[in-house]
Amino acid sequence: MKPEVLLIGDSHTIALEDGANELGIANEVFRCGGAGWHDGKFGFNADGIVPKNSPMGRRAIEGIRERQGVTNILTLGVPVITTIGFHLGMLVRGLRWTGHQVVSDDAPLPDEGLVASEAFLTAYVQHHRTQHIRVLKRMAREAAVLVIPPPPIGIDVNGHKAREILIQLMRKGGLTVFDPMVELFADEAEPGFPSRFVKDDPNHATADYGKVVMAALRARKLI
Amino acid sequence: MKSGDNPYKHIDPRGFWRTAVAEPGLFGYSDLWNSAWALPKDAIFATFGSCFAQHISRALLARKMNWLDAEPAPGRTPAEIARSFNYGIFSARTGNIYTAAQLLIWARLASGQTGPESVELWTDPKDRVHDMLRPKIEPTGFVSETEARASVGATARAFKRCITEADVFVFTLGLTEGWMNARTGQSYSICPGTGVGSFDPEVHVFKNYTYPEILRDLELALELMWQLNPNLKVLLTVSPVPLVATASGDHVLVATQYSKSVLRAVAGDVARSHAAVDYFPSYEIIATPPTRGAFFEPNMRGIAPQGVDLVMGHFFKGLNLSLPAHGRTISDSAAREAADKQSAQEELVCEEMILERFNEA
Repeated sequence: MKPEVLLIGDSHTIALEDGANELGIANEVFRCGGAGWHDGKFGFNADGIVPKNSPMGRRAIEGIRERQGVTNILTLGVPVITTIGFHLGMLVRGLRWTGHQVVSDDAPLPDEGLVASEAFLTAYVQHHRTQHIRVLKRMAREAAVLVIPPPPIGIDVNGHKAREILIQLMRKGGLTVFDPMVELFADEAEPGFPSRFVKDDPNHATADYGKVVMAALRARKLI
Repeated sequence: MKSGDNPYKHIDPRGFWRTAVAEPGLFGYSDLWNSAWALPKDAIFATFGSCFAQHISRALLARKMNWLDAEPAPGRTPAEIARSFNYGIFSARTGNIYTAAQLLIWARLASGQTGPESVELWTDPKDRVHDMLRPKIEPTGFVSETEARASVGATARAFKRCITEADVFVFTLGLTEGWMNARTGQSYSICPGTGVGSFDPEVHVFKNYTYPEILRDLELALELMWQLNPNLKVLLTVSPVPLVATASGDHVLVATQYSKSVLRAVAGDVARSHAAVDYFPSYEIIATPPTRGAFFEPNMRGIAPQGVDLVMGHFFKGLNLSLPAHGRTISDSAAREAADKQSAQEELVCEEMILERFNEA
């Protein structure tokens, strides 16, 4: 069966996949662990996305190719929903090594440790996400790519700021980003991500969250 | 003393110009400097001051000695980004500390005598905020006053660590000339309006610090530092780099010689007054007649790497690291391990979630 959407990303695509399934939105999923999207562990060629050193990732791609009869899974002609790049805990772990914290309206000023400026974190995120953004831009040349940043849960203040910065960098790079925090949850009574959508683990959102997001994308004709 | 005897008959050859300088030549000086103190093998050094101090930190690192970087760049920062945000240049992100007055400001911040709110900020036309103590520390300034002050506070904490954890605090005196705010007394590291800030002749006044003023500021700074760490040893040097410009009205050559002479005199006198202070003659090695200016770049200002090598050669030759290692560590490996453990935990959760999708039970 031809899917209506192709989900590409890390473990954060699980909620979106579950939501799509609950809504009866046919989907294919190519998923690697967050580490699979890091530091040259994936590439891009005429066959589309090529995971390196990830047998699980290669098998997933092969499966979609076989089922859909395509070589490049991006040529399915369906919107691509992706969480690529938002493996924030890993992205900002270098700041934890040295005890750096960014200044945020949402967190008390650090009275110990070091401070990293927003300008620094922007340069840092840009450096560590250049390849991800390049791949997303290449993907966007072949399919309608919609980046859905995972909800900011289970991450520290540096992760929150890195998320904001990465969204800005992606938009600046011409990518379409649908941020559920702004588009769907900005008017919640409590600030932040609604706790009713947080899984037990506690870094991921629930299937109900995925359903809300997928329903909104459908209602806005983004998929 | 016998007849015909005199004190000069008992002076070592190093005390005579012919035997110590003229005959051995520039590269043959011996016993130019011997550390005033015996230090532990793994002595920890912190370095601050004018731009020449950067050479000392680089040389310490190159020799794999314990150079304290109390405000390092976050892990996994590429070298070019670290450099542009002034990480890894001095032991904390103070930027150049050109004058004793500025050293005193940092000592006061570190001791808690003053807080980051005392540091003057300037907002540029693009709404970026710069702290006038470290105007070039961020390539494009801070996003807000809050961020700027938080950053000053963090650097002050790191500066304090340098005082409390280092065995030797190396400070290179650079300038007598500076600018200050006539109303608040704030000392600037560069003249407002020269890149950062806007110059107001009613407020911003030129100050050519005199010997007594520099001596007072240096003594006050050292007193605060010794309150934080009574065992701290201080090694003073004077930058041989000439002034790029003078606002004194004198010819820049004359102003340079005045400035360096005053700094050299203060450094020597402070070293003579305190057992915990020593003077290292980097200035003499580079800028005195025997070199014939050979270590200056063609602009007669920049110092050639060969000169720096010679300076550092004497530095390491004169260091006395004969005491047993104290074993104190300066790396934050515990913090790094904890951070990695947390990241690995998150990673595991993600991977496990993906694997669980294959569980059809």
